[in-house]
This record gives sequence, C-alpha cells and structure tokens, in this order.
Amino acid sequence: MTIITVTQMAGLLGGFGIVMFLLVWWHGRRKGDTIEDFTVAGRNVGLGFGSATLLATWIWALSLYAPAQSGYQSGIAGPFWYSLGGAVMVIIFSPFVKHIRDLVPRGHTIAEFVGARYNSTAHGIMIAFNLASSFLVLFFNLSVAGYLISTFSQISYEISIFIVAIIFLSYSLVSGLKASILTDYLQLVMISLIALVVTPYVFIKAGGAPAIVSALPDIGDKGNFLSQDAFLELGLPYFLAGIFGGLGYQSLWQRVWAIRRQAVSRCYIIGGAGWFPYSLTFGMFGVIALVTGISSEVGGSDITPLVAAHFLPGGLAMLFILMVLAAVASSGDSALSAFSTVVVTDIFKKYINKGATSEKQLIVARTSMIFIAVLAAFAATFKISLLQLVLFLGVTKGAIAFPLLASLYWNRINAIGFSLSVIIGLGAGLGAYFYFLNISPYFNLIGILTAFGVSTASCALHSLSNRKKFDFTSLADRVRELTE
Amino acid sequence: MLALVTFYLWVGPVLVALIFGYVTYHIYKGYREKPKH
Repeated sequence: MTIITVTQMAGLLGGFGIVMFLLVWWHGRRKGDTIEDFTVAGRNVGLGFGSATLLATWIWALSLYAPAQSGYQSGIAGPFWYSLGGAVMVIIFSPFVKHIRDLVPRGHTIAEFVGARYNSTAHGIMIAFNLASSFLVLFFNLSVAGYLISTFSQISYEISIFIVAIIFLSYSLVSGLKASILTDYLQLVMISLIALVVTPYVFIKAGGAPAIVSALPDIGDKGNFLSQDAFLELGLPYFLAGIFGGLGYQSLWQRVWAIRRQAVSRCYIIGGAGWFPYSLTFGMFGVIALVTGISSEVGGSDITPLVAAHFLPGGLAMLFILMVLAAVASSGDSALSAFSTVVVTDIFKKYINKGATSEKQLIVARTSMIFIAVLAAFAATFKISLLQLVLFLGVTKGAIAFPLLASLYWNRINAIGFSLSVIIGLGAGLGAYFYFLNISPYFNLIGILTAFGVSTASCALHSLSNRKKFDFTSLADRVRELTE
Repeated sequence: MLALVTFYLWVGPVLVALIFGYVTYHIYKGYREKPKH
C-alpha cells in the first residue's frame, strides 16, 4: 500500500512542522512568556479558541480510527453510539467547570485542587493518575502516527515516531499550553477537511446512500439502525463509560483555567456537541467498508487507512495523512502541556522549590516535556503492550469519579474518605474485572461500574460519619498563581 | 429507507460545517473586538 514517496512524505511532515512552529513563534515574538502563560495561557482564552481547542484535543488519533471500527464491527448503528458516548465525555464537564473555576480561580491542575482540598496522599493519587494518563495519550498518538506513516510510505515505523514527536515537541517548548491552543485551531481546520472533503469524496466513490441501502439485506443485523447488539455492545457501555471517561484527564481540566470564566461552560458544551458529528462522519468509513466488502484482518482497527487507500487518489491520500497528523499533534501537544504543568505545579513548586522564579519553572516545565516525549517515543518504538496500564487507568477513572466530583460540593468529605474510597474502589474494580474476564463479554464495563459503585458507597458512608465540615471559601487562598 | 440512510450519511459533514463555521466566526469576532495597541 506504499502510495507516497519518501520525498513527498518528508515534505509533508517537514511542512507541517514548520508551519506550526512559525505560527507559535510569530504569535509570541513580541514578549517573553511567564510560567502562567505557559501553563494556563494567561487565563484569557475566548469562546472561539476555547471551543476549538477542546474539539481538537478530544479528536485524537483514535477518534479517527475507533468510530470506523465500531461501524465495521457493529454495523450502521455503531458510529452513532460510539459518537454519542464520546460527546458525553466532554459535555459532562460543563456543569462543574465554572464551579471549580470559582472555587480555585488561580488554579492550574485538577491535582492542585485535590491537594488544596485534602492532603499530600490524596494529592499524590491524582498526580500519579494524571501523569500516567498523559503518558498513555502520547504513547497511543505516536504509535498511530508511526503505523500510518510507515503504511503509506517507506519511512520506517521507528523513525516516523521520532519525527512526529519532534514536530509537536518543538512548538510546545516555545509556549506550552498557549502554543497548544493556538495550533489547535489550525489543526482543527485540517481535521475538518477530512469531514468536509475526504469523507464526502469516499461516500460518492462508494456509490453513496443507494449503494448502502442495496447492501443492507446482505449484512443482516448490522444493517439495522435499532440493532440490540449494537446498543448493548457499544451504546450502553460507551454511554456509561462516557460519564467517567474524561474526568481524570488533565488536558481537559487544564482548559478550565485557561478559558475566560464567562465562556468556559459554553466551550465544553460546544466542544462535546461538536465532537459528535466529527466522530459520526469518520465512523462512516467503517460502514462503507462493510457494504463494499473491504475486509480487515485485525478486526477493523485498521479500517480507516484501508478505506482511505482503497478510494483516495495520491493527492487526497496525502491530505488524509496530514489530517491524521493534525489529530495526533493536537492531542500530543496537549498531553505534553498537561504533563509539564503537573510536574511544575504539583511536584516542583509544591514540594521541591516553593520560591522558584518563573524562569526556573519554565526550565523545569520544558525539561519535563522533553523527558516524557522521549520516554513515550521509546515505548512506542518497542511496541510494548500497555494493556495493563490501560486497564488500570480505566478502572481508576471509575474509582475517582464520585469522590472527585463530590469534593467540589460536599463539605463533609475529608482526606481519608477521598483516598480510601479511591483505593478501595480501585481494588474492587480490578477484582471484578479479572473475575469476569472469562465469564462475561462486558468485563471491562463491570470493572468500571464496580469501581464506581464501591468508591461511591465507601466515600458516602465515610463522609456521612464525618461531622467536621470543610470551608470551601479557604480554597481560593490556598491555590496561588505560580508567579506569586 | 433511502431518505433515512441519505440523512445519516450526510448529517455528519453538514453539522461539522456548522460547528466549524461557528467556532471560526467567534475567533474572528474575538480578533475584531480585541483592543488595538
């Protein structure tokens, strides 16, 4: 399937990197950034850029692949259910974002809130979870980029990974979250071109709606919009997982403090609602594959590039690669920014050097970016399996959801209640996962729901027995700007 | 059935165009309202 020469691919990657870097450099050329600009973009992002950055961050490499896989595996109803679940993940934030912004107006990370609300143990749990999540996002995005570039050209998988890592590391080092938000819009333009140019082209080449209608009788239950299997295998699990999905993801929380207070809730609603049509459109690649007989040997995880290579001529294939690269970069730079912000705010400034200058913190932030990018790139080149980490983080999301959200409102939760309920919920969730692994196809969902149920019950019971009430008004003074 | 499938196939790109236009409009509006130094 090598349809692009090495020179063309090198030009594409180089051009993409140079444009992103020049954009960030040009925008920041007049004044030097402080650590506050680097971590929360000066807290002055408006509705347009705020919505665009949430959309682009949430459309990561897997968002281009997984909806299509759901269409290929579960049929015509698959992309709808998958997209609905993903949209809920961002929309679910909207009621909480303004509230946490009011509680800690000078915050940077969700771990920082937990640290101020509780103690160093609870803080440590959130730090570990946020760092591991950021690493995982980087790892997956780099892996997808490696597979894509090496599939379409003769550039090796390993070299592809390092080229892509260098691209988004280079401009992220300049101005952190500010660079991420600025480039996110340009990357959203590129991603939108898939939905507005490439996908319609594939629809028309595949014969459009009449071809799908005529093929529906041949694909059985997969041709049914109201398929019960699609609902049970995708709809319900993704919808429920959606409730927990983004809660531990620092990239989504970080933007709470970057976007202007009056626009923040609307941005999360637009970001989530906007994600739905993007995902639905990408999902049609899987439906097209199903009705035109394009088959995948690995269960559909590669169906998007297969369909692209089947229908697209060379020029549009390059456009397609550019768009996947945009999706990879938009989430990759956000993960780099999230990781460095947690390192500076929650580890360096909090525990190592409380009086560090802005310049010193910028050095630490940039060094941590380089460290995690290199680590994730190396992990991706070795193709190591991170299934255990994925499982662990999935169950942790379920265990953290209630204690974290209740911490925003319920003044009777204390540090022991928070930490114990997360740990007990995590243990119960992992136990349930492994118990049902060979018994039920819904073992993953059972693990997450058990973690959620047990942590909720233990947190509620402990907090009801606690008579001491926390004073939420004290939080604003405990969380300061990094330059203070 | 044809109408339903046609709608399902094309509703995504149409909504993407609307969302993208909305976001772009607000970025443009933000730049216009930004005080000039």
